[in-house]
Amino acid sequence: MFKEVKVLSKLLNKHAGYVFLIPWLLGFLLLTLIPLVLSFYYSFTDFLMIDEPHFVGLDNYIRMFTTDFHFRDAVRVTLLYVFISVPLQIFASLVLAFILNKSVPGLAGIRAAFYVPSLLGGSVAVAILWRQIFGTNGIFNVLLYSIGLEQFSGISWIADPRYALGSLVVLRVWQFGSPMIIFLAAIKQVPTSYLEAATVDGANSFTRIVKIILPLISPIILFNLVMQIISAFRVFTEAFVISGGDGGVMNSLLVYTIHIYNIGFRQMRMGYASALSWFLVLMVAVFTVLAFIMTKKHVHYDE
Amino acid sequence: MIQFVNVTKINKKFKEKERERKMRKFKKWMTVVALVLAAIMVFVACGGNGGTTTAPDADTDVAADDTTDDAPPADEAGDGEEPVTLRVTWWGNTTRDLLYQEINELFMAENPHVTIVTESPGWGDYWTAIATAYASGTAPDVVQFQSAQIGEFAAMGVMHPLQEFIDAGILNVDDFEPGLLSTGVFNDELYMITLGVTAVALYVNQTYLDELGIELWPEDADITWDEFEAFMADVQAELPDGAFALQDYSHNNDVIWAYVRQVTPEGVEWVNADGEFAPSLEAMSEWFDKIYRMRSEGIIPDVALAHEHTQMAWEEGPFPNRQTLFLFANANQIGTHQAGTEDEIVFRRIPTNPDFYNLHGDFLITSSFAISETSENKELAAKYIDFFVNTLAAQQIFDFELGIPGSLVIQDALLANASATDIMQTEYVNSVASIFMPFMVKAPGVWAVQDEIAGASQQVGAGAMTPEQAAQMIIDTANDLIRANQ
Repeated sequence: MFKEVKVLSKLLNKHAGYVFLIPWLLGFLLLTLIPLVLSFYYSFTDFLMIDEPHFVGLDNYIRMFTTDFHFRDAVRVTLLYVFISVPLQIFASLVLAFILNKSVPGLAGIRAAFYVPSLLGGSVAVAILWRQIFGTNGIFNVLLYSIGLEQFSGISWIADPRYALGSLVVLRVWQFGSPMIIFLAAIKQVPTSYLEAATVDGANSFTRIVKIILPLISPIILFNLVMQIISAFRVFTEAFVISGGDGGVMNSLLVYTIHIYNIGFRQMRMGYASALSWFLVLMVAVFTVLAFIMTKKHVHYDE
Repeated sequence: MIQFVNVTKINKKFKEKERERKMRKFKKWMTVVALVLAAIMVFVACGGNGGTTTAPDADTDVAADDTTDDAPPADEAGDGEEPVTLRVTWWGNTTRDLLYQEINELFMAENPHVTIVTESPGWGDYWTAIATAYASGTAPDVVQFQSAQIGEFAAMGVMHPLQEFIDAGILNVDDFEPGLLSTGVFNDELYMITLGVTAVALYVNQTYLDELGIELWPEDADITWDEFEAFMADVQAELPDGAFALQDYSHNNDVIWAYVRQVTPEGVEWVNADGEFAPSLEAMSEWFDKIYRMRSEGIIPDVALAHEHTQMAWEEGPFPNRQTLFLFANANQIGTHQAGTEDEIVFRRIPTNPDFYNLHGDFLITSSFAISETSENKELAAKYIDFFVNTLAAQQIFDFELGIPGSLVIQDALLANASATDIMQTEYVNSVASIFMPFMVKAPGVWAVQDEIAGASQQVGAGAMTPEQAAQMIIDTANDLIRANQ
């Protein structure tokens, strides 16, 4: 008996790591890998959620570009959203990081306060709040009215198809906290000796930022850019809640994930929804690679 | 160049030794934890089957009141049967949920071994939740449906036929009006028992209309869609800025359905014999064009405002607050709308259509209970449904919540003490029943087509598409959706 325990204990000693990994491994297998593989298979079938799936070849992938009228809207809205909101967000977080890099009393508290929107941003509660603020009778219009912009104060900034995406972009830019913190850490790592040398040579603070800090933190800018592109492509909650679940008036808030949700869960066409999801993966991959290629010459790597 | 982790290089050797010692201690400790963990997992795996029993004390207050003060365990309190859990789901809101809960407690008081577990998502999320539950095999025992969905779900074989429970005397439908009972039939098999019947009505703010000095057409008279449009224009001419004669109805699936019934031959509706979308290009163009005309004349709010209206609670919406004078809504919602206003509300029927096949397209909407095929307590589920629809005490609580009850006996008993709005909806539904022709079961996929029609109205309303383009797009999309579901 004692011998067996000893053998077992020796065995476990070697593989204890894996035992501890079991919860994660199970989660990864059941919640990530298996669904991933299955969805790839389903994307070539007419799976209707309850019926048996039948193989239909590339039909689903062809349908996107032929009979699915919403697909174009979804791609257009998503690309607009990503390419307007991500640069704005990166810019805003970078500027704030520079401002917060100064030593001001109570800075830690201010930093924490700026980070809060990042924690709240994607939540249902904030999306509902956004709907209240930017609706026809919302506080934003009251503000416009009070500063004399009556002609704009009757607009619904979340339902009017001309402006709806704008309020979604504002919501994203507002969540500048997490890239800001990363920028702040990067800026702090820039050796002060470089900056002091530049100051001695007569460089003003703008020149120091443009010529020294920005080049040195460029890998971090790329990192934030890629992370934010990926997360912007996956936006769902905000658009879902603000549009009331249907993608808004004239599909103005029909981001790609809402289209997938509508097809998959409202129309129960899981096969087609899987194909749409894989197209999203492809889109994200393409734009991530593009981001790397396009910034290759501008990003500084310490070699 | 940039380092996020700055390792200080001090006394490397000492540190390594210290680390080795700690590691040995940690490994020993880890082995113990791993062994315990492995043991727990083995136990959990063995005990898996026993995990589903419900705690016997999970009974309700009502049931507890009926038992003696000694409070014996619930499974012994009643008929000595095994404790069992029944899962029931409906589309709800906070006030409606209370009625179901109250009825459930009555049922549990009579059946102390039963615990009812409920789920009540709002209408907007309900169908998604139900479809997902059926797909994953975790659907509740008793599920609420609307007659319109019977085609989508019964065809997939997720509902259990109910005749066997009627034969066994568990489910009693003797008092039911045969026409109402038949709304739960699909392919000659009864799948659903109606909880209430209603119909789409045109709500009119009579008080406001009187103030404007405009006379409404008589209750028993019909007007055509064209006359209706002209009438709306007359009303709009009298209204102040910010008020609209008619609330946007372009997204109301039941009005769309009634229109489709008008423009297709009897016995066809959405899908024709060739399996194609039945309404013609001309009929669909006219649907979009009429809404477009009224929207551009300011009779119906613009698409953005109309979309905001759809997200409001009924009693807080534009109709009770005099921002619109006319509204298409189900007759059973009269109580909620009336609660939001002092004005007198009256009903008129959906306008008629002399230009196509049928003058009237009105139909009855029934909300019903069905039993899931996956349920392990089908008999109990049948007993529950029987209790819900045939017990006067339960129906007095429910009180026309989903429209007129299916049982004629219950109907008579309730009408004896009914409120003004309940009598009004009953009279209205009876007037619809007099012109009603039985509806066709919607083919799978049609549900999604209705959403597409609502969306296309917005495109037309905002000038992004002509009515003809929208109609053509709907026909193409509908054929694609119908094919995808075959």
